[in-house]
This record gives sequence, C-alpha cells and structure tokens, in this order.
Amino acid sequence: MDVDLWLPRLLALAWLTPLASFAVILFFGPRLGRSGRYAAQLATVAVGLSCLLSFAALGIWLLHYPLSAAHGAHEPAAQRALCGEWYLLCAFGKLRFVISYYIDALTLAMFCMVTLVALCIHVYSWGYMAEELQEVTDALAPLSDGQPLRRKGRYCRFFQWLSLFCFSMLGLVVAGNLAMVFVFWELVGICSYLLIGFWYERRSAAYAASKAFIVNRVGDCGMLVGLMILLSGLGTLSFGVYYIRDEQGRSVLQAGIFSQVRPARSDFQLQVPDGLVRMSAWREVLKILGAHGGNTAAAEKVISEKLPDWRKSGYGYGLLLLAGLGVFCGCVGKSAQFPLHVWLPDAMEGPTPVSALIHAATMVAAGVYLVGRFYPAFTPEVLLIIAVVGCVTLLLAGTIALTATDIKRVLAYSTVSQLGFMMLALGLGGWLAGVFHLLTHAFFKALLFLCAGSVIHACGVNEMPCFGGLRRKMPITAWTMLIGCLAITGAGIPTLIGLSGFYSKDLILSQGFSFWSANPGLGGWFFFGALLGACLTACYMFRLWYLTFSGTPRDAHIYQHAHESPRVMSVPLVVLALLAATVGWKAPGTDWSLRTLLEQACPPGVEKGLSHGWYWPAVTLPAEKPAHEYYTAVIVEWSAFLVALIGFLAATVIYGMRKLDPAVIRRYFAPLYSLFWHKWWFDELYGLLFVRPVLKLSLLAAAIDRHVWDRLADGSARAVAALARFDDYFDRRLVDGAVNLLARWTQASAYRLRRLQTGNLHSYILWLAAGLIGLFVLLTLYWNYTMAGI
Amino acid sequence: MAIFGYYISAESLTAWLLSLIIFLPALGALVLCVFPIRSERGVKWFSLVITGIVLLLVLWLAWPASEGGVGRYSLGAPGMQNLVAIPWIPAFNIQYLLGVDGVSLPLLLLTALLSLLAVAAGWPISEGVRAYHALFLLLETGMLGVFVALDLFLFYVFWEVMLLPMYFLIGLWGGPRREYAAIKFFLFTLVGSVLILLAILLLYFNSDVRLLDADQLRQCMITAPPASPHTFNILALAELGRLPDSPFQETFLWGKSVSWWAFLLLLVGFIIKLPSVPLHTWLPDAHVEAPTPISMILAGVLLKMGGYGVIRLCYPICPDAAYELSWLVCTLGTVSMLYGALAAMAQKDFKRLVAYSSVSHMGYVLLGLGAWSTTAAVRYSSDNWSMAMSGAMFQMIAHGISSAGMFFLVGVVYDRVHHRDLDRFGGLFGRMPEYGGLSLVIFFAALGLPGLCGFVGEFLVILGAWSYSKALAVIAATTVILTAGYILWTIQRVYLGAEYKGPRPEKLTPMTAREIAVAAPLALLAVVLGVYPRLMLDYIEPATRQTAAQMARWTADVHDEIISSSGETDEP
Amino acid sequence: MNAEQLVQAVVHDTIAAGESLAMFSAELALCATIVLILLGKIFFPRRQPAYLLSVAGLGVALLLTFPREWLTEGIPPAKPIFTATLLADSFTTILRLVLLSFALLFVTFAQLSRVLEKDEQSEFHVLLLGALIGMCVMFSAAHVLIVVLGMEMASLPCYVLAGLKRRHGAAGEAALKYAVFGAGTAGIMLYGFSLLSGVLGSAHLPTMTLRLAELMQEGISADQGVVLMFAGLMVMVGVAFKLAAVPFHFWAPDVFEGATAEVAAFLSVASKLAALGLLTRLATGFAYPAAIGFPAPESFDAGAMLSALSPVRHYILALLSFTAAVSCTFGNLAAYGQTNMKRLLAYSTIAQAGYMMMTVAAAVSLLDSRLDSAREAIAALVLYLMVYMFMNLAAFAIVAFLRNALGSEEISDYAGLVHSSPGLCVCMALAMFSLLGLPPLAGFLPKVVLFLALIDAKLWGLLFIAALNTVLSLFYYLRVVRVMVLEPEPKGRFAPRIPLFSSAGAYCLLLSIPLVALFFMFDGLLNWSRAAAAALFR
Repeated sequence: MDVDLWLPRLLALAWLTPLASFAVILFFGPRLGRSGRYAAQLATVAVGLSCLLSFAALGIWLLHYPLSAAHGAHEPAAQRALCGEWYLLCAFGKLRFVISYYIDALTLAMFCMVTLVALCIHVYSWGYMAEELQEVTDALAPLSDGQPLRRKGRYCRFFQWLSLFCFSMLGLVVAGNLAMVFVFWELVGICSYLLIGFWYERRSAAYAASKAFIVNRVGDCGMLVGLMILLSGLGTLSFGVYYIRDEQGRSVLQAGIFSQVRPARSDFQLQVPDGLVRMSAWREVLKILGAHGGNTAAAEKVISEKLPDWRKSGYGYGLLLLAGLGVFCGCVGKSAQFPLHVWLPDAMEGPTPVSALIHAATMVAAGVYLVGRFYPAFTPEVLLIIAVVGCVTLLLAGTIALTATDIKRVLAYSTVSQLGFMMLALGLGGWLAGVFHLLTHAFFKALLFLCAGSVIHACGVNEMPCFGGLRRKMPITAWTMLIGCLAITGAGIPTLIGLSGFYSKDLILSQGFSFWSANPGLGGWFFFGALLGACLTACYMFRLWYLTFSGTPRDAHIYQHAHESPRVMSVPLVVLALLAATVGWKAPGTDWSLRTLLEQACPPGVEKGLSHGWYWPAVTLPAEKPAHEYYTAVIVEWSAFLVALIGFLAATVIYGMRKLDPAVIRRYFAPLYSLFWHKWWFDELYGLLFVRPVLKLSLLAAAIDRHVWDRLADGSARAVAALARFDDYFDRRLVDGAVNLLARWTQASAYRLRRLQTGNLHSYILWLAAGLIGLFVLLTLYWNYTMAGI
Repeated sequence: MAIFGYYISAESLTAWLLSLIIFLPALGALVLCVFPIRSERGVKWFSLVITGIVLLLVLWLAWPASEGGVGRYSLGAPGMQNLVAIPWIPAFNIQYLLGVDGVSLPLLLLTALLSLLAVAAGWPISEGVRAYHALFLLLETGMLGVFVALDLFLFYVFWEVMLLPMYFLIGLWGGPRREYAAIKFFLFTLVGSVLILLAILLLYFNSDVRLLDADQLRQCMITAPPASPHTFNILALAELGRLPDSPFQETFLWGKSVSWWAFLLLLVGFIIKLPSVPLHTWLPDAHVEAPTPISMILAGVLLKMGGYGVIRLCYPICPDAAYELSWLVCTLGTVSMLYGALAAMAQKDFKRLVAYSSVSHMGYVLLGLGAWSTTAAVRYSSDNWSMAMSGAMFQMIAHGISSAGMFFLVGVVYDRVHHRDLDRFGGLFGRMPEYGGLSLVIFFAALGLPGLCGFVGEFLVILGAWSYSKALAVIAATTVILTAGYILWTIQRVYLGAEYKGPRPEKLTPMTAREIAVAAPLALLAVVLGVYPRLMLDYIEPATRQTAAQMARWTADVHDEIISSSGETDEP
Repeated sequence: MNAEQLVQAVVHDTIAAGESLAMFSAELALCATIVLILLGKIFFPRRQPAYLLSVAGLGVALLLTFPREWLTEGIPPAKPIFTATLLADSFTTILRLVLLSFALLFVTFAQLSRVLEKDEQSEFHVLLLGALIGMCVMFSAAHVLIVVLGMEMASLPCYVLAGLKRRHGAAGEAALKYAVFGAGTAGIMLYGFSLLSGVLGSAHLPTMTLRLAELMQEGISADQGVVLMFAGLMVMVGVAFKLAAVPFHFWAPDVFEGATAEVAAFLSVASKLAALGLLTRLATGFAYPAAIGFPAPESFDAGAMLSALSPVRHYILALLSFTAAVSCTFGNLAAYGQTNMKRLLAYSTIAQAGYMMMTVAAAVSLLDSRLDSAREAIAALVLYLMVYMFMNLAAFAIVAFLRNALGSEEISDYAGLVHSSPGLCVCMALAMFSLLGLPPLAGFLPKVVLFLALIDAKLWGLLFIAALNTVLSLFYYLRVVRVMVLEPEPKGRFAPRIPLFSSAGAYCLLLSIPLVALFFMFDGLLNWSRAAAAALFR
C-alpha cells in the first residue's frame, strides 16, 4: 500500500479524534449521562482509537522501512521522512503558513507513546476523578466565613480538557513546520493552564496556572525571535522539502529548513543558508548595488558570486546561532529547564492524572522533542549551551528533590532532572540517547505519578511525613511504584539486562563519556555531573519509596483510612509497570527495539559537526557510534551501576533501616539543606529581579499617564481658559473703564438734552435720516464735477 | 446636489448599493426624528432592523462573486471595486466617489456587525431612547462612510460626521465624569481633524492631474477633463504620489517637501484616533465614561479609522515621506504596545484596563503598517511587508472583535453589581458559567492565543517586523509576555477564586438571552477567524500585496534611483 | 459752468447715457419704501402697515437688483455710475442681493419676535431701510466722500436702533456709547481721507491709486510716506470700527449686550457685510491700479504701476494680517469667559470678522501676480458672508425667542432646555457647530475656502492662526450646546416649550435648514461668489 498516502491520513485521523471528543463534550458534556459521567468513556474511546491508529501507522511504517541493526545515522535520512501539507492557512508571496506534517520514526514513536500513556491515564482518571461526579466540598478553597466551598462537580470538563490536550500534543508532534509547532506549543500551554487551574477556586491553583503560562510565554518569546530569523532569512519555516501546487497548478518545490542548513550535496555538513548570509551582509549588498547603479541584474550576479566568501568569513552564522538559541529558549520554557524551571513544581496543583500526563510524560517532554526534531539546525555552540543547561538543571532539580516532602513535588523535581538528562545527552551529540530516554522516561514517570496519585487518593494528603508503612495497605501501588523507582534509577545487571531506564540512561552516560574523551578539558564536567545526577536520582527516589511504603505508619488516622485503589486505577498501574520494565528491550529473537526504530530518524551529519570557536571554546561532537563500543559500555555501565547503588544504599540506610536520623544529617548540612529546601531561592530571586520591577514599571507608566500626558492635555485647556479670562478682564476693565467714563458723561448730558427737548428723540433722528437720503443725491451731483476733477 | 443627479458611472445597482449602505442609517435617524415612534421598544426594534438590513447589505456586497451566484465581490482582485463616481462639486473637482477594496471591506463588515450588536447591547438604555438611537444611526452612517469614501473631501466630511453623535452619546448617556470625557474626546479629535484638513488642502493644492496619463485617469474615475488641475481624488493622489517627479516632492517649508508635511499632519491626525502614545489619553476617559455599546463602537470601529487612514492615505500618497519617517511610525507603534501593556497592568478599573489593552493592541497595527522592509537588501521583495500589513489589517479586525467583546462583558457585570473595581471581583466562573466561558474565549483572543483571532494578527506583524528592524521586532515579541501577564492576572482576579468579594453578590444572575446573543457571535467569530483566517485574509491580502508591491516598486524605481545616483546607501 | 449746464449734465449722466439710475434702482426703491412708510405712519396712525411695506419694498429692491441679464450675456465689466462716484459691478450686485435678502429675513424676524411696540414699528423700519441704503452705498463707493457718506448713513440709524428699547437704560447707554465711538472713529477716518486726498490730489479712489502709483514711480519723499501711512492707518481705524475688529472692538460687546438681540443680529451681519465690502474696495483699490471711471491716460501702464505699488500692498497686507490675526484670536479667547449669550456672540462676531479679513489679506497679497487667485480669495469672502448671514441670524433669532420665553439672555439659564424644547436646541446646536465650522454644516465651507485662499497666498502664519482658532473656538461654541443639552434643568425655572411648529420655531427651522442644505449646494454658492469677484481687477 502507498505509505506516502496512507500514513498522513491515519495520523491525521489519530490526531483529530480527540478534537472531536473535545467538541462533543464541550457542547453536550453535562448531558452525557447523569452529571456527564459518559464523557469519560467518550474521551477514553477517542484516545484509544487514536492509539490504535498510531500503532497501525507504525505497523505500516515498519512494513515500508523494516528495521535493521545498522545505524540509521550512516544513511541519508532525508528520504526517511514524509513531508507534505494538509491545509493552507494563509500565504504571502513565497511565505506560506500551512498545516503540514513531517512524519518519521520519531514522530510515530511519539504518537504511540503519547496515545498509550494518555490511554492509561484516561482510564485511571475514571476512578481518580470520580468524586467530581457529585457535589464537591473543597476544603482547600475556604470561603470568607471559614466554611469550605461546596460546588457542582466538573467531571466532564476534566475529560474535555484532557481531550483538547491530546489533540494539541499530537498536533505538536506531527507538525511539519515551526509555525505550526508554535501554535500547538501555545495550545498545550493553555491546556496545562486550564488543567493546573482545574480547581480554580483554590487561590494557589489559580496562581500556579498563571505562573506556568507566563513562564512558558517567556520561552515562547525567544522562540518567536527564532521564527523571525528563520522566516526572513530562509523564507520558510517548513522542516522538510515537498512539492506544492501553485495558482497555475504547476508543482513547485517548497523549500525546507533542514535541506538548506545541511544540504545533502555537502554531506549534511552544517552551512549557513544563502538567505541568512545575504541578510547579515546587507551592507556589502548595498555597496554592490550602489556600485552597479540601477542595474540590479548585474549586481545580483556579483552578489551570488560573493556569497560563498561571505559565508566563509562568517556572515550569517551569528543569526543561525541566534535562531537556534531562540528555538531552544522555547524548549527551555516548555521542558522546565534551568532558568525557567520554576513553574513545573507549582504545576502540581493540578489533579494528579494531569501531572502524570502533562507535567511528566508528554508536554514537558515536548521541549526535548523539539530539540530532537530541530536538531540538524543547531550549531555546535547552541548544542554546548543545551548541554550546559541540561547538566545544571539535572543537578539543581536533583538536590531540591532530596529535601522536598510533598510526594508530587519530589516527582516533579525528578522530572525536571530527568529532562535535564535528556537535554544533556542531546547537547553532547547524543541524539539517540536523549530521545530514547524521553520515551522510556514517559512510561515510568507516568507510572510513578499514577502511583503517587493512588496514594494521595487513599490518604487525601500528599505530605510524605504523614505516610509510612502503606505497603501493607496498598500492595499493588507499592510494588508497581517500586518498579517505577528501579526503572528511573536505571537498575539492571550491567552489560546484560535491565529495566527500560537502564538502557536509556546508560546511553546518555556513555555519550557523556565519549564526549569527555573527545574534549578532555570540558567534557569531564558533563560526565561526572551526569553520574552525580544518577546517584541523586537513586537516592531521592528510594527516599520517597521508603518514606511512603516502608517503616511504621506516622499518622495513624490516615493509615486507618488508607485503602488500595479500585481496579480501574490499579490496572493502568500494572500495565504501565510492565511497559516501564520492558520498553527498552529487544523484541525476542530479533534485534528490533525502540532504539533501532529511533535510529532510523537519527539526523545525519551531526556527529561530524564541530564549532568554529568563533563565539566560545570549540568543541567536537563525538558520533554516537563509539559510545556503543564494548569497553566504553563496560566502564560506563559499571560506573552507572555503582553510583546508582550508592544512592540507593544511602536512601536505604537513612530512610529504610533508619540507621541514621535524617534530622541529624539536616543539622550537619544546615546551610545546604536550607538552600535545597528553599529551592535555591529561585522564586524569591525572580520575584525580586523581574516580577516586582515590572509591576513597578507598570505603576510608573500609569502614573506618567495620569500625571504627565493627562496634565499636559488638561493644562493646555486650562491655559486657554486662563488666557480667555484675562482677555475678558482686559476688555471689561482696562479698555472699557476709560470708555465707560466717557460714555457715562455723554449719557448724562444726553439725558439732560432729552429733558430739554420735548417729544420723541427717535422722530427727530427719523427726519434726520430722511434728510440725509435727500442730501445724498445733491452731494453726488455736486462733487463729481468739482473734486473728482474730470 | 448632484448625488441624485444626472450621471452615474457604473451599473446603477452597484452605484446605489454603496450609497444605500451608507445612508440607510441616516435615513433611519431622520425617520426617528420626524415620525416620533411612541413606544421605546418600537424605537429599539426599529434601529435594530435598520442596522440588521445594513449588515445584510454589506454581507451581500462582500459575498464572493461566483458565476450565476448572488455574490458581488470578486475575491483576489486587488483594486477598487463597486466604484461610484458622481461629480458633486465641479468647482473644486470634488466627486462623490465611493468604492471598496480588500482594505475597506473587512472594516465595513466589522462596522456593520458591531453596530448591530451595539444596538442590542444598548437595550437597557431607558432615558432618551429616541435621541440615543437617532444619534447612534447617524454615527453608523459616518463610520460606514469613512471606509468607502475615496474622495478626500467626502472622507473628511464623514470623518467629522462621526464626531458630534459620539460627543453627545458619551456626554449624555455616559458615566459620572461624562462631560469631561466627552469634551476631551471632542477636543483631541478636533485637533486631529484640523491637522488632517490642512494636509488634505495642502495635497489638493499641490496636486496636478495633468501629470497622469489617460488610463491612469480612467482608473481613478476622472472621466471628464477637469477644469482645474487640482483634485481630491484619493486614487489620483496616490498615483501622483508615486510618480518619479511627484508634485508633492517640491520643497515646501523649512526645507521639507509637501509630502513630508502632509504625511506628518495626516499621521498625527490619525494616531490621535488610533490612538498611539503620547496622544492616547482621551481613550481611557472616553471608554470609562461611555455607555457599554458606545465603548464597543469606540474600541471596535473608531480606533480602526486611524489605522485605515494611515494605510489608505499616508503611505500611498506620500511614499517618500513615509519611507523617511517609517522609523517614527514603527517606533510609535512599538512604544504604544509596550506602554499600553504596562499601563494596563497597573489599572484597578476593569474598563480602564481594557482601554489600555486597546492602546497596546493598536500598537501592533502601527508597527505592521510601518514596517517598510522592501529594500534593495532583500531584492525589493514585498512579501514580508505585505505579511506585516495584512497582519496589521487582521489585527484591526481581531481587535475590533475582542475589544468590543471585552467591553461588553465588562458592561454585563457592571450592570449587575455597579462597580468595576478589579480587586472586588472573583469567583465569577462559579456564579455565571456561560459568562465565564464566553469571557474566557474573548480574553484569550485578546491574549493572542493560537486558534483565536488575536493570534494571527500579532504573529504576522511580529514576524514581518523583523526584516524592518530587529530591535523593534524583539521588543514587540517581549510584549506578548506582558500581554499574557495582565490578561491572566485579570482573569485570576475576576473569574477565578472561591467567591465574589464585592457588593451586591445577590445581583450576579446568569446572563440573559439577549446578552448571550450579543457575546456569543463575537466569541464565535473569534474562534472562526482564529482557525480560518483566510475568511478575512482572502479579502485583505490581495490589497495589501498590491500596496506593498507598489511601494516596493516605488522604492526600486524612484527612491533608490535617486539614492544610487547620489551614490549613498541607506539603512534597510 | 452755469446752472442749466449742470442740470443738463445731471440729466444726461443720470438718465440718458449713464443709465445710472437703473443701476441705482434698488436703493431708490428703498427710498420710496421709506417715504411710503412715513406716509403710512401719517395717514394710518392706528394700524401701521410698516412691516408689510418694508417687506414689499425689499422684495421690489431684490427684484430690481437681481441680475437677470447675467444668464444671457454673462457678467458685465465694472461700470462707474453717477460720474464715477459709485461702482456698479457684480461685486456690488451680489453683496446687495445678500444684504437685501438678509434684511428680508431680518424684518420678518423682528416682526415675529415682537420686539417693537406699536409706535416704534415705522421708525424701526425706516431706520432699518435707511441703514440699508447707506450700506449699499458703502460697498459700491468709488469716491472718498461717498465712502464717508455711506458710512455715516449706515451708522446713524444703527446708533438709534441700538437704543431702540428706551425702556431700559442699558440700551440707551449702549446707543450712546456706540454713537460716541462711531463719531470718534468717523472723524479719524475722515481726517485720514482728507490727508490722502491732500497728498494724492484727488478724492476719486481709482484716480488716487493712479496718483499714488505715479508718486511711487517718481520716488516718494519720507514725509509724504509718513503722511500716507498715517492716513492709511486712520482710514483703517474707521473701517475697523465698523468691523468691530480688535482693537476697535470694545463697543461691540456692550452694544450687543445692551441692544436687543434683533438689533444685535442686524449689527453683527449687515454692518459687517457692508464694512467688509468697503474694506475690500479700499484695500484692493489702493493695492491695484485700475482705470475705472475715466479714460485711461497714455501714461497708464498697468504692469509698471502694479510693481510700483508693491510697498503699498505690503503695508496694507501687514495692516490687515495683524488686525485679522489679533481679532480672531482675541475674539475667540474672550468669548470663552462670557456668561451673557449676546456678549458671547459679540465676541464670536469679532472672531468671525477676523477670519473674513484674512481673505481680504490673501487677496491683497495675491494681487501682484495672480489675479485669478485674488478673485478666488474675494469669492471666498463673499461665500463666507453668504453662509455667515444664516448662521448668525439663526443664533440671534434663537436668543431672541428664548429671551421672550425666559426673560433672560444668560447662558446659565439655558440649562437643560433640550428637555422642554428640543427642536430649538437642535437649531441652536446646528448654528453653533456651523459657526465652529464642522461638516456637514454650511459653516465648514467658508473655512475650507478661507484655508485654500491662505494656502494659495502662502500666508502660513495666518493659516496657522486660523487653524488654531478653529480649535480655540470649540471651547465656547460647545459650551453653549453643552449647557443646553447636557446640564440638568434648574429647579423652579419655567421650562419654555417652543415647538418647531410654532411661528418662532418654524422661523428657526427655516434658518437652520440652509445650514445643512447649503453644504450640499457648495457648487451654487461658489458660482455666485465667484460671479461677485468676476468683475474685479480687470
């Protein structure tokens, strides 16, 4: 069957099904069954359908491009992607804004992952959100009279937003151009806003929602800059190349970013596209044009000859760099990386399934996904920055997670730190490692969150100090969560077998290792940073597990009421646990695996990329190939194993066997502890640096408005009024004063005169007038003979 | 008067259609004055019907022509359509010249729609109903006329016709400080109009139609060879402005050319209306004091006339001045965006906040129109500019929808609780669900969320601005953060939260059917335009493409010729 | 010469050859009317037909002066009559038409507003008609003494009219004040004229101009120059007094306040019109040499003389521009502070006079090269006068009717009138906004043509001032409307109902309709006013 025809259709269907369910629930939600209980089923069916479709698409793909152990990195991947457009939004000359698609192995993998995780979480939510079916009493939203708020349930709304989110996320994954990515980028942002603020009666939830969106906007602003540069420089935002029909029906080539940045003819080496070169060399261009006077054709010829020299002398490279940074800026916001990580922990105000789906498994992964997707266009400098950001993030988040007590926040910080791992890997040239970890992480992080959810569901609070010993009350949750912990720590028998995290994390570490060996000076930091991160991961994850499930119950009352979650919630846990364990494995008998699938999409030419050192120290990006060689594998895997073990043992000693009292350690490391406990003071810092100044600035603007512009307007009006009054005064007093005297005198005399004359003054004047008229004729005749002198 | 006179250019139906659209409301106003309709309901229904008919007529006018279909408008044709040219004042070559193109038609649609909705929104107004509706209909005539008049004299007449009804509508039916607001509005606008009048006369005096050849004249609908060479004909003036030896280029005062002065005068006149910092201070007062429907019209339509004037008059007629001063236009736009957003963030009064958000949003329009990026460095490709221009036009439509919606929503809640203090709201979602839903859509549209109308304009403008000026584009991009900031903060303070904190909580009843009928179409349009921007862009884009292309050709043929002959280069 | 030669000359010049009487027929008709009215007063002392008579007389005068022949044989060149003491040209004709039609409207207005007691009727009308004759003479004068005569003929009845309401003292005071100023300025003007005639050796204006030009060509001595300039100034004083132009305006507010609204209306329109006509005659007459009223001498070389006169033009231009600018600004500013409606209108009149003088200034500055444009400027003036007549008459009429109803002319007493008599308020609003000059009201047209004239003459300063004043004037015109419409009705004030179908209301409507309609008849107005200017500067 024709893959170019069918894959897009299938994926389009898979993408639009959730939208349909969103629309239905939006308009008929409350009428679907009693208080809209069937909305859940509807949404679930929709996402299940799209899950099936995605897997069907994957199947078709595999039939068409069978997997091979050979690394895709070595073959040109250009033909390994299907590009095309579904629908034209608007076009301005050559600039087109379209709904287009870019389908490769990564897209399909993401589709399957997202829909699968979403499916599990939908099912889970039936149970978790059940209380929204009847009237809810929200103790966390107290009224002014101290009573808790009572409100109608919003069961169907929840699933409505979930469906919208699935639609947006899939759109983001399938997007074939950056504009479309940006659109769905914002849409998933708003979905997360709506779902974080699902319990908007709670002041904290409302606040967290706004915070999340605004912080994301900061990233998007940078992304917008990237888009500007690319659009005006390259004239297109499309990833891939494809043919379109123009008005005349002729089919013309739609240029793509990748083909311009890494042309196949130059063996996929990074080169600055002509547009950017020309754009940044505009002074030269104008010089040439000026030299040629009006003759533009000749001038253009000269320019096109000069372009390579300009490129060599570095014109436009800065712009490309900036564009890359801009796009990455968006990813930083979305994936809660180091400077913009502050929103994710607060986002835990949302219902736990939301945290699982959006703030752990999928949306926050979108940033990593975009870095992976846009990978060919990143210059080595940008990659280095990505690596640095990732490394900082993973350590930062790990340390905070060590001290957090809110079970969801611990998981949130672990998410941030894992995303840091992925960024680090991508930044070090380990495309495969990063993306692979993205996929595996999705499963076990979803699992962990759902487990935490079921604990919270059972206990009604999410402070770990209130838990303890729940293992006996809720065994399924406990054991599945243990699997999750093992997976995230990358547990496994080195060089032999392990849980999913084992494979991905080892890939990352080995990439770090080979990067170190390629750049001795710099690389060490990344490698050891990653190791430390792995250690921390093990430590805080097991701290969490022990505090929750092992030992003796710390709060008897909660322990009394704790119970295992209903089947509808526990089944997804089991499914996810299985996936978390096995998703990294090879299909038995073959060497087909998720990894080999992803290798198909591995962008070519990256490993040979090395930076010019124009902007900062030159780095060499090692190919991922040496990372798989045996000796590296041994070293890396064993070191990974050891650090994980250290972390695990530390947790066990402190929290499992209670050999050491955490309070004592806390006292020893008081300053460090308070630093971690206060999340490195980031919120306060940003409040001081940005929020407060902006508010001050806004007040200033308002004040200027009221006291300067308004005053100017009113003032000029008042000035006119004052001047007018002065004029009037001048008239009445100074001039008229004198005149009035005169007038009064004459008037007096006139009255006397009138007394003398009897009769009517008017009649006299009347006669006078008549006389005048008579006189007029005579005068005329008289003078025109004498004085006119003719 | 010659309008009902001897000579009609095009097929008579076309000729009468536009005139009918413009003057039907005025006729309605006259009817209201002459035949007193006793019952208030009667008056309201009457003006509702009139505005409805106008909307239908405009829709019919705008319907894309299809062979054998009802459509009239040929999509994709850049030039003027439905031209009507009737000599009115031959002594001054003043024509009764009407026409629509992709720039004016969307605004015409917007005006007709918002007028209809505003009449519905004005239902609760109970005193002086007849006078109110008469004035309102008169106002509509003025607004419609401005967008279709192609003769500067006529344009100015319509421009001023709006002034008086607006003054009385604010001054009579407004809030407590209505008199101050009304006179302020009147004063600012009058200053602007006087400047515009001077510019118009200046252009008239320096125009010389003898420089145009026959078919140019035919395109400009100047059929008979005029007695004097001067003209008020906008199309002809635009042609003249683009000539290599344009009569407007001769030095006029203080070493600046006629077109420089005309451009400046026009620009100031228009940015008062737009409004742009620092001439915007009439807006918040006018908005806060005006009754809800008038705020809708004010924000939805009147502000657009500034932008319309800039794109219809300033740039085509005075290209060289525009090229020289585009930095001014764009800077003003960007400053307004930033300043408006900041000022909005600091407001405590709901309506003031929306007003300042208008200032911020109209800044995009100015930036998009001004971003003259068709330089030699980019081979005079006008794509980016036509994108920005279309974005600006679309932004006008989008802002017309979202701001009118926001003002209406503010009015809805104000009618209930009689205060607008942002800190004394909260929890409206729980109390008024439909209200909350509609507000969410419209506020997110204002926030520029993809999938809603606000996004398209901002996105296109910002993308297009880069190739004109990197710094301005980046500043513009940062504005989206501030926008998100104040909109979300507003939502948080008004709609979210556990309970309503202000007075008269018992008055917070759900929206009535009438209110929903006003707000729902706006919300619907916000969505439709967001997901199908071509609905408007198919009208806008050909016109803006033509304008941008003409400017590009001018830059190549006229401006850079001069520059290259004088041997110096200039910034792109 | 002996008596009979004189008589023959008179007869010949008057009837046979010069057809001067025909040209003068309108004025004669007015004279006849006056006589009839007086007879009527004598023979029918009980019921006086004064109103009907004067209406009839004015009608006849209008018919006589209506230029039918223009339609057939176009606009004739200027024609000196009565041995070149008067000029009969299209300018005269049109201004006469405007003035007479205004008078027609005005007497009706006076009748409707019932300002006159029974015994005042005939006096009033006689005075009115006398003044009209004087005014007609003013703007058709071509001879210094005719100028003076006309001004006095126009002024004296006005003094009396100003004091018409002898019941209350304000009127008397106003009248006397007016008279005193009038006499004073007239004296000054007369002095100025005698100086001019003395230096130039003639009293016939075109001849004087010729002499002046020759003098300039020969080179003029300093003391002559000083004398001439002073003389010019003195003449200007006289005209400025009639125009109530700053700084000779201070009589206007008091007189307007003291006199009845009717008389104020007459003063503000009719005497302004006459004065502007005269101003045009004098200013352009001295600035442009024309051989009218005598066979041109061989030495007559228009071009050379024109260039020789340029200092004179500059002097006149400076004089006019200064006076215009100052009156405009001052009037608009001072009007803002007024509480009495008539005072306010007085200042508005002053300001409007300023605008109108600007057109004359433009004409003078254009005379040196572009005569067509100069004619345009004069046409602008005439158009201004035509529109101004309606606007001001409407305003004063409303004031008068409100005075009858309210017994007050204070603006504050107009508060909230819109509720009781909306129609009247709409008319007032129309008048005010028309005076402000907003389209689509007739008042916009004069502004446009004025601005065009100023741009054409490149008088940027005046243009700026005119534009600025348009904004300034907003303050007080709008204030009147605001008080009427926006302010609440004061408690206890009797709310007059003046519906539009009452006689008064109908009259206001009659005057307000043109304010809108004329706007759409721009073309017609323009043709008439261009016709007025057509015969000038030939």
